[in-house]
Amino acid sequence: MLLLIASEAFFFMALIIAYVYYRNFTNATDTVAKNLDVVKTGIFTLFLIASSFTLIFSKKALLNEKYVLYKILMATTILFGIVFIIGQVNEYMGLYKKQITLSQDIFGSSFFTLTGFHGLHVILGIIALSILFGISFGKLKIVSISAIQGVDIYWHFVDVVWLFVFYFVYINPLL
Amino acid sequence: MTLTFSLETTNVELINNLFIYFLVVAAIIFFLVVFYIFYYLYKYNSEKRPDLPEQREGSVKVEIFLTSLATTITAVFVYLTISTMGKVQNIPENPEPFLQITGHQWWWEAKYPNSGVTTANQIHIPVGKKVLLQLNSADVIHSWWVPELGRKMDMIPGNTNYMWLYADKEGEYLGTCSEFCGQAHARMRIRVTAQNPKDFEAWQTQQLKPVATSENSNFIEGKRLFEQKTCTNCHAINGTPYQANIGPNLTHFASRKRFLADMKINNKENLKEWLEDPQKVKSGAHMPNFIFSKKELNALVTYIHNLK
Amino acid sequence: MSLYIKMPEENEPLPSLKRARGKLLWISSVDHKQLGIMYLWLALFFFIIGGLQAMIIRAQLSWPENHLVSPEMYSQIFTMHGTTMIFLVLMPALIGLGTYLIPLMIGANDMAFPRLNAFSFWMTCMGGVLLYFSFLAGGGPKAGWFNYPPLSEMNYTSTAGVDYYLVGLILTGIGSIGAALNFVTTVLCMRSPEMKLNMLPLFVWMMFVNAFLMLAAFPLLNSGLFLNLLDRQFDAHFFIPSSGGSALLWQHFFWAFGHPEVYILALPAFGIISEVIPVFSRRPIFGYKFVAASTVAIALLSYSVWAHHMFTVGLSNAVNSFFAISSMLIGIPTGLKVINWIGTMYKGSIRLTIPMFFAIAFLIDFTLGGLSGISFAIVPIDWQLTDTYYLVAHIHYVFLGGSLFGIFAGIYYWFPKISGRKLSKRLGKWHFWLFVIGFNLTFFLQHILGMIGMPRRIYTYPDLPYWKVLNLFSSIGAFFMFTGMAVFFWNIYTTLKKPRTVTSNPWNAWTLEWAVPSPPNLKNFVEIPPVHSRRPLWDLDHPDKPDKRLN
Repeated sequence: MLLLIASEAFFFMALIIAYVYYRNFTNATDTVAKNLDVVKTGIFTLFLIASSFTLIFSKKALLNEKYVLYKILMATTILFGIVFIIGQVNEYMGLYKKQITLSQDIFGSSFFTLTGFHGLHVILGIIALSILFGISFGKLKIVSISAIQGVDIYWHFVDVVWLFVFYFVYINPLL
Repeated sequence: MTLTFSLETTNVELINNLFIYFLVVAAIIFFLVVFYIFYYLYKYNSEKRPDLPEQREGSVKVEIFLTSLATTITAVFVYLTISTMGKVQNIPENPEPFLQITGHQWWWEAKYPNSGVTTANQIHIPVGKKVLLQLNSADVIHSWWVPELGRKMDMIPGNTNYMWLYADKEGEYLGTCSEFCGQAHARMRIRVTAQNPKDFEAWQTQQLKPVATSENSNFIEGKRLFEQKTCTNCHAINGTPYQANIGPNLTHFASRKRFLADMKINNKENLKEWLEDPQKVKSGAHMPNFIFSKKELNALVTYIHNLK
Repeated sequence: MSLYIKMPEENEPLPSLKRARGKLLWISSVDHKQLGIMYLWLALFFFIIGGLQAMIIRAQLSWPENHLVSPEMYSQIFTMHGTTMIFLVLMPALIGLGTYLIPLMIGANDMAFPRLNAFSFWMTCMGGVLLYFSFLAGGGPKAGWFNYPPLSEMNYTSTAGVDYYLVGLILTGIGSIGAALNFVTTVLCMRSPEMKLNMLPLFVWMMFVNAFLMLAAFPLLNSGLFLNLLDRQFDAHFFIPSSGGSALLWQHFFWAFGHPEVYILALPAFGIISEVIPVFSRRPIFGYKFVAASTVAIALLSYSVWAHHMFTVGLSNAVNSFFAISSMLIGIPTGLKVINWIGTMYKGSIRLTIPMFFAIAFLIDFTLGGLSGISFAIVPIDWQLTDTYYLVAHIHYVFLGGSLFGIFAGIYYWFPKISGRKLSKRLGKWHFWLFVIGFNLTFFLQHILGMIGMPRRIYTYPDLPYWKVLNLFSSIGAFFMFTGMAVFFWNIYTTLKKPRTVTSNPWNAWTLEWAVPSPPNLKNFVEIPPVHSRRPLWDLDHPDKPDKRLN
């Protein structure tokens, strides 16, 4: 799992490099950044970070065999993930209303690609978490402990990637 | 040409010298490798030495010795590379190009900013003078390469590159586009004519003359057709409102020795063949097939061929 | 064989051991041996296609102003030739050998993730199918195997070929990442408990290092491919300079993948050579530690050399200097390996078998390819010779003289293990001489063609001095190679019809795969030899003078 993550990290690295490259090495002005709502997205970012923590606690609960607590925390994690996705969708809708799309210009292209791929990963993570959540209502097998460790790493990774994306796309243009 | 110029090493000579140093070292290394392989194959063949050999695991001393030897050779070549690079590619901070070449699918646009000459495919430079070349592309990536006049440099859309061009003898120098640029890439060849400065000036003056006129009825008909059949949507003629830059500027077309990026000799037969069916002559070319009648064709050829 | 140790029973048997073998079960197989063989067949199949494309290219270029194929067709053929040979021949052949041999060489019964293994294979296979489907969907990709935009963008290439190229390569890329994950995990977790990492056979070691290269390189390619696909299908602007994109960025992405890829194709071949030469010189490898360490050095350096593919795009002299230095440095560990292989032959007792023939051809031709590679690291020489036939000659010396000769050596070496039959030595010699002579004839002359000014990827050329004769001889050489390959296929065909006669260790080799029957049973190891050194079978055969104990 760690290796897959490392491999994925290179994928996102390439996308982020593309974005930074366009910002700093071409003369085009960034049309997307000034239309982004940093505060709102910042709040949704907090949800995503919080979900990482709830996942850590739910794993601990599982290892301590506190199954009810585990289920509650797991559900919270999934919920936070979904809230984040809703935030993303909201952001996209806002941009579409301002006629900013993938094909509009180079920043449209890189913004939507970068955040879109990240969103896709969040959704995949939510699906994986939901499957784990579903399994937890059946008999808990040993298999699902190694599975939850995998999903755990994955979810934190997706979180960390978002922090980078948030920094480069939302914060950096303001500096 | 003055004596001082022939004493100076040209860029091409610098690169050639470096290549020769490399070849000598590479040949020695290669010879040693091949020699030892065959010597060992011969000496340590199992038919000669059927006994089980001693099971030695290698020698750290040999490894360290050979690694340091390789590192030393590398260091020498790193030095040579960097110093030669600085000599060949020393572009001033605010470059003032003598010649601007723009690559198009599949022809070369040439502009001389000092004199204002614009031409296509027929490129002239003065002998004995290092000229600064500016390279751009109008569509895809092309690459300018005339091996005897200088290095190779890519033409990248959105970027501007510079390089030096130098000819020490009069004559025609052949080159080619060397980055794959589509279907007619093979047909995108370069011919640079190096002339003594006097001839070069004369050529420039001739290129700056206003567009030719004639009272010949065929010529007048050809001119009318040229404007009516939308040739002017792509081709520019100086001194007229038609200034499109999609195909070559044709103001002095007849003065060019060859056309279609050095593909064909510029005569009436070849021009006629080209206008009749561009795809048949140069597959992939962006010139449309206009399906002219014989009469129209004659008129157009007469017109274009009088644009001296 | 009382010296062997019984393998411990596993709690949960691997999925690959639950099934019986059978012809139809190949497609649902998750056994690493069957998948390895399928990889090899896949490579062989596409090798025929890629080889025929190469023959068309050489036929077209035999004489000036030839009109055998149209320029449009020619662009598709050379694009597909490059793409096929790299992604669908060399990659699957090397991954296939790795998939077959790694578990056997480290005393494991299967890969760590057998199902992922099957998934990887089928992804690669589907990628290949998609690439070739493009010919039915309006024309193959025709922007060269490195697909430079803006030529590869909609404005300049509107046929669907490039889209198939992008999707096909994304799939094979995912397949390769999966295979790499599997290799790393297998080597780390599935080794026989006695085998420490410094006792790995060099082939396994190099595949192991190689897997890390793949894990880092393919995502870079995939992201580039995705961006290009978005450009083409959703009107994004990543690589379109006229609307703010950058044509150079693709080149950075592609070569940051592309140069490690060269080593991804070379390292496993190095590994094969490091197995073959010691066995047939009957001496252990000269300087195991140096060969192993230089592999790591190559892997690390290979990430800092990519811009040497871009010396003519107009980067600054400072940037070029950096990449020149790193590119020349990578020559040192590579050269060290060649020295170690020759050192292994020193004072040996050399048996001239067909694998050894190919190993020697590898040594000579790869040295030549490596040396011509150095000339591209010397920036001013690159400024003259890049993108000419000199470069075409160089890549073929590296990929054929290096990777392919390594693969041939590997196939002749391990064929007895895989099929239980030895390939004919007589036919093998024919194959060897026809192919090696043809290869050197074809590609050595291309060095000279490049020096006298012939650019690559042209479908025809004017009748300039020497161009005609050099091109003609180059094409004649290609015909020799073609005949050599025909002999090779005939050799495989006739050998496969013979009964299985080979014992478990026909070459007197030393690594664990030779301890099991040829071909191995579905469950590789019921019992396993004790492993105390890098050559466990040697220790068994020579109890009087075993290798130094390493555990």
